[in-house]
Amino acid sequence: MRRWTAGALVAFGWACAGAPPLPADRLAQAEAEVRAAQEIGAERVPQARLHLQAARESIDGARDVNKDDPEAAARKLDIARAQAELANALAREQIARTETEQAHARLDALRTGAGSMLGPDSGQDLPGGAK
Amino acid sequence: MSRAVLLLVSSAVLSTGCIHLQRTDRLDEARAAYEKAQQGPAAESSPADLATAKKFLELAEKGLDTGDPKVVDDRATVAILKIQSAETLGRTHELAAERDRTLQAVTATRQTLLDQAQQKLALAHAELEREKAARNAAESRTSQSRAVLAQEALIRDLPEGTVISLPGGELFRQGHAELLPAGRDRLTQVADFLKTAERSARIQAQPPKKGSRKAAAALSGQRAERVRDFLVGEGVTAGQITADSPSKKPTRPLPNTPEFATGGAVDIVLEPAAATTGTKPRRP
Repeated sequence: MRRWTAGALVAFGWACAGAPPLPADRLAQAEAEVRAAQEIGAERVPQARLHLQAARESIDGARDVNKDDPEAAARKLDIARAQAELANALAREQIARTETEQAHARLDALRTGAGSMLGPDSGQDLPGGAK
Repeated sequence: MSRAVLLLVSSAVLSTGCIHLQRTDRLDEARAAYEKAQQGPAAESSPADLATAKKFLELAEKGLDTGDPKVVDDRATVAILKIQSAETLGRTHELAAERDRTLQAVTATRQTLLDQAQQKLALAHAELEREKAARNAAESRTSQSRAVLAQEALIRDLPEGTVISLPGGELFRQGHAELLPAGRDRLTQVADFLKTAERSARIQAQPPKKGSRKAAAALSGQRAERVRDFLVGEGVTAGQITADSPSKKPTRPLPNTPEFATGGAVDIVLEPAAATTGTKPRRP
């Protein structure tokens, strides 16, 4: 009789404890990548924003399935991290693209200004050749 | 009979469970993405990131051993995302390299422009110095010439300009318009001065205070013309010098000395510098 009571209590306690927690390291890594992508401005880059959103949804999805399938939850966290990394990379690419365009604009402005300031042949003497 | 059927069904179930998972669509997609990435800029610009992506692809392929397509698909998804990240980083590296090259060109162009501007400035400065030296030399010559002339003629700086007055009696015989030899010598010095001064001038022969006004006016006109012709003959530019119409009375007070009172005067009036050059008047 006592054995049956103890077993019932253990079963009841297990049920009340709920789902096991998400893997702390994977969750932390995924959330850190999401934060990094946000900080670099992924929200302002359309393609990066999509992946950032997908990362958030994967983290939410991991929480949802963790109770029934902890392994699937862990995999969703891996996907979330990869999504956030891609968002981060896309944001950096946009920054590099903008900086490159600005550098070209500065060079063009210099050469245009030089052409009007130093005469029609001056551009031929400039680095990179005449435009 | 029923036992045999049960055995058959059991073995069929067991053999199905042992069927090895070969592929999933998602894994195929990941493999294709990796193949493509190997041909793109990531292979050269971000090989480390691509190598990392390959490890995730291999992990997805190992997932086939579990026989669970969900595991394979999830790992393949991670691999695809890693491959895309590697490609993106490859493009980013290329853009950064292009940006750096362009900024170097900006710096070099700016330096070239600066050098060219400094060269132009140096040339302009040298030209300015040459002009300044030439102007100083001209002013010096003018000043020396004026000093020499001042020994032979009366020079006054009046509002109408610089007036060089020579006694009429020392240039011409009384009542005539023919130049005396001594007068020619004096006018030669005037010509030297006019050539250095480079200012337009007009000749006015002032009649003496005594004698017929009408005759004196006619004579003064002739004398002015004669002086002009002589000066032009000495090298003064013809357009620089004019002879004024005869006047019956002096256009300005004669110098108060006997030689001017008896023989009148020949005045050479240099226009103020501003009237001819448009610059500030200066002493010749």
